[in-house]
Amino acid sequence: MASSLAPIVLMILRRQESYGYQIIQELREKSGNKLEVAEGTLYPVLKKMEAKDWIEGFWKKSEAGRERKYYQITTKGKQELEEQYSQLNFINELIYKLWNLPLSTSN
Amino acid sequence: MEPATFNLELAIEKYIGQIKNYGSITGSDAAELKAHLYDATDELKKSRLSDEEAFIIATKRLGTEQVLNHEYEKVNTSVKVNRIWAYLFLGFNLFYSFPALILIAVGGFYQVVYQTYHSSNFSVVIVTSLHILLIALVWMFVWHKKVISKFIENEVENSALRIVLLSFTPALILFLLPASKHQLFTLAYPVREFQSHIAEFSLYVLIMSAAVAALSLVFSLNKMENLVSKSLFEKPSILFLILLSIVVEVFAASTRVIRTDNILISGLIFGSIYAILSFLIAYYNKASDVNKFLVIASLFGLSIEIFVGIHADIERGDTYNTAYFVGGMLLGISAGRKLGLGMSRENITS
Repeated sequence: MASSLAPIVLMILRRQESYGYQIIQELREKSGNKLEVAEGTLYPVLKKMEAKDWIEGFWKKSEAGRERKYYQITTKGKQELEEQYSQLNFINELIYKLWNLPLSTSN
Repeated sequence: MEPATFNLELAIEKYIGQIKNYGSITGSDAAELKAHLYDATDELKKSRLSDEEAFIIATKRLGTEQVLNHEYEKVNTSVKVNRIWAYLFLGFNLFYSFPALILIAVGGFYQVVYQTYHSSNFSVVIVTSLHILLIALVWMFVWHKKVISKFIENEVENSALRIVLLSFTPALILFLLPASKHQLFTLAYPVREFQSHIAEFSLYVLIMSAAVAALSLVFSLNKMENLVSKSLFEKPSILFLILLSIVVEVFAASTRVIRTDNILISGLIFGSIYAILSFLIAYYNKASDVNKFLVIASLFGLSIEIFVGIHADIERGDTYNTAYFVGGMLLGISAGRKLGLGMSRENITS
């Protein structure tokens, strides 16, 4: 699960900077509450992505005065997203084609 | 109704603290998770949930401590690496600097006692009591190894830097002591100044205790059970038996400092050490394995006694001490074996 989250997180951050809780909310919303994953496991994924320089984290005070860690996508992250996007698309098409092949009736 | 005792901030603090105790997250990770819980509870409270209800749901969604730590561990390898270094420093200080300091302190203690009371009976009592006290300390250390390691683990998780720096204190004192270098190596000598076999022998018991304690710690490393004599002696490894045989022989040989006028009694005292060894092996093992283990555990002692003993007898001329010691040893082994086998059979049948 963890590794497949990365491109999705990149897609969310491509549009605007965000913080962990908000990213999770967006995931939840866009998946129609179907994404069943322990919310906390997103943070190690973010950390790994930060270590790979795909995203950059920085602390910022929220309106309520609490510190939150915000993330924004980097140039490297954008390149990575494009690569992963075309790869995922390719796999997706392949799956679609294979799935729709007629079932063998030879035996 | 919400119980008045629930405090959201405290609860979040405690929850994150527990995750942090596992040791795989950094301070920044903890702050991030804390911010998440605040955001999540704020959101949940908008739908009229109480603080406590919001907290329960938010933490449930966040995931269990185990899941989070498992995921974080993959990312935070440096946390793990740093912990290993902390343990290496602690190990060095705990097993080298700290004992070295104790040795020097004991040496200093001998000196003070000797200068004050000379080789009187009183000083023998003091010195022997000190040895007995230290023996008890050594075995207490082994006995409480779980508590001690738990304590160290906790300290490393919570404030590794503090405990590592603190553990260097004995090393620092060693470094500052000017005479430490030679005192360390001539330590066994001053105990003879008291001219007491009891004082000398109790020092040997202390040294052997430390050796056996170290052996038992090493050989319990890959055992799941608690450290008890059973976990060491039941199906012992050959290496353990060989190392033990050396320690036992050195220990048995050191009983010779207890001078008795009767060589027969000396032989029996010598043999009694082997009786204990033999008893422990026989008690914890199948009768069919016992003989093999006993041969391995006594081969070193037997050959040393025969070769070195005969050599010494020839050198002294007209003595036959070897016969008494080897005899005592064999007698001890067979007595211990018989007793051990007998008692273990009794245990099975009862």
